[in-house]
This record gives sequence, C-alpha cells and structure tokens, in this order.
Amino acid sequence: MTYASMKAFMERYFEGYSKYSNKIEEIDKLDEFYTPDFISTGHTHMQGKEYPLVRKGRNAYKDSLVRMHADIEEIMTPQDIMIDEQEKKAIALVRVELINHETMEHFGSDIIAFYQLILDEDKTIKIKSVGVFVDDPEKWNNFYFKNL
Amino acid sequence: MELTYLNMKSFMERYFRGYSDWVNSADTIDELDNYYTPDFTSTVYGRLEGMGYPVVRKGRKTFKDSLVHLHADIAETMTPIDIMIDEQRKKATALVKVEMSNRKTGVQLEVDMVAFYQFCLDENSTIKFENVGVFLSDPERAMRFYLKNP
Repeated sequence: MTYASMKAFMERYFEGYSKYSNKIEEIDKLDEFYTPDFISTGHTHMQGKEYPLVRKGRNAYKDSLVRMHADIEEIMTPQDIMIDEQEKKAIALVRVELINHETMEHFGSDIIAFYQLILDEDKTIKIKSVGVFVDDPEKWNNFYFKNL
Repeated sequence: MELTYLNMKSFMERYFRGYSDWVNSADTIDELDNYYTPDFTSTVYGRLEGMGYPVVRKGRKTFKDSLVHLHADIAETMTPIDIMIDEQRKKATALVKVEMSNRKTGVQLEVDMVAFYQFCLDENSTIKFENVGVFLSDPERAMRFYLKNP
C-alpha cells in the first residue's frame, strides 16, 4: 500500500460509491471497497439518534444505504484527499449532493471522512472503517436519515 | 527544520499539549504565534444561525481575538484522539475530544472535532500552520455554548 495506490483507490471509491450506492441492484458492487467487518461511525449529534451512530458489518451498512437511498440519490465528489502512508489512512473533504426524487428537494453539504485502509487476503486494498463529520447534523437527520 | 512526518507529528503533539494552557487567557494567547503564520486562516464547516457559511477568520490576530472573546467565560481543553499526517502534501488531520466548561455556571459540554491543517516553513525555517479547517459533531450546540446560552 503506497501513497499513490491508496490515493488511486480512494478516487476509484468515490466514483464507485456515487455509481453503485444509489441502485439496489448494484449495491453489492460496493463489496469491492469494504471489508466484511467494515464499520461506519457517524460523529453527528442528531435528535432521536444514538451518538456516535455506528453501523457494524458491510451488510448492515449496505442495508442502511438501500433504505436511505430509496428516494434519495447521493453523489459524493472529493475536494481534497489526504493520505497518511505510515498509518494507512485516508482523509477526504467531500462535497455531497443529495436529491430527493419524490419531492425534487436538493441539499448540498460538506463532509469530512477518515478511512482506515488494509490489504485483504487477496492483497487488495479495502476500507476497514470510516468516521464521518458533517456541516449540518440536523439537516442530515431530517433529509437523509429519516428512513433509518 | 524539515517538514518530515516525525517533525510534523511532534509539532502537532506539542500544539495540542500547549493549546489548552494558552487559549484560555488573554495573557497567554500570544504563545499561539509560535504555531500560526501571520496570515493564518481558520474555516469552520458548521452551518450556524446568523453566521455565513463557512465561518472564516482571516489573519492570526483576528483569529486570536475571536478566541479571547469566545473564551472569556469558557475554558476549553482539546485532547487529540488520533493524528494523521500526509507527508507529501504537508498536511495533518486530527480527531479531537473538546471539553468546554463555563467558569461561571459550571455547565460543561463535550463534542468531537476533526481539524485539518496545512503546514509551511516560515522565513526562519520553523514549522507553522498556514490554515485550519474544522468540523464539529454538534456545531450549533457548541456555538450556543460559546455564546453563553447553552
């Protein structure tokens, strides 16, 4: 796992996430990026939700994406990707565009996400965990997490 | 001084050790000059009522003035949980536990924060922060707490 290979992986990931996470029939293509024991942690204080908001396991995470993307399309565009080569970590400042297809409401937001990368048994880079902060936790709660 | 991985990491550790001592008093705030360039810029990615987005402070003096103002009644302690260094691009990101306490009322608030920093070498070849970007786990509540209305 070199600086260049981790950065290229993250660039592929963001393209893949926007492409696959919005279609239930393609959601399993995200397996290319996450380990089976992948953990997601949302560091967002939101009314009525536990803090931090943790999803343990790739399947549990994909299930929550399917629920949240039932009527919302999510497009992630990285603005900056930082790589800690020694610790095998990536940090991304990301612009997220959310579109509700039923109401046609649109919500643009900035987030920062930090990823732990590992090599799996096939020596392929995977994401083992992610932590996320958002600019407007309550707006995310009302717009995005309402189906959770 | 070179901007190596180890130098940037130990700079970050020194910064967090000192920050909580210096930021809470107008008498010690100038110690932060050892860490920020004169044109230091701070950007807070929090959508806060009555404030623009993002909330930008340009210039070290403006930033220190806002810290003195915010910490008039509020003592703040920052504890880094994780520090990540991008050696090629001379950047650092820190996951930080922030504990705030109102000295008058004793009310406390704890939030998590991510801060990402751009390093540079100044004219004396000393490491400095050129800018910082900040995300908070609960930006609205933290700002209400700072503004003495928790």
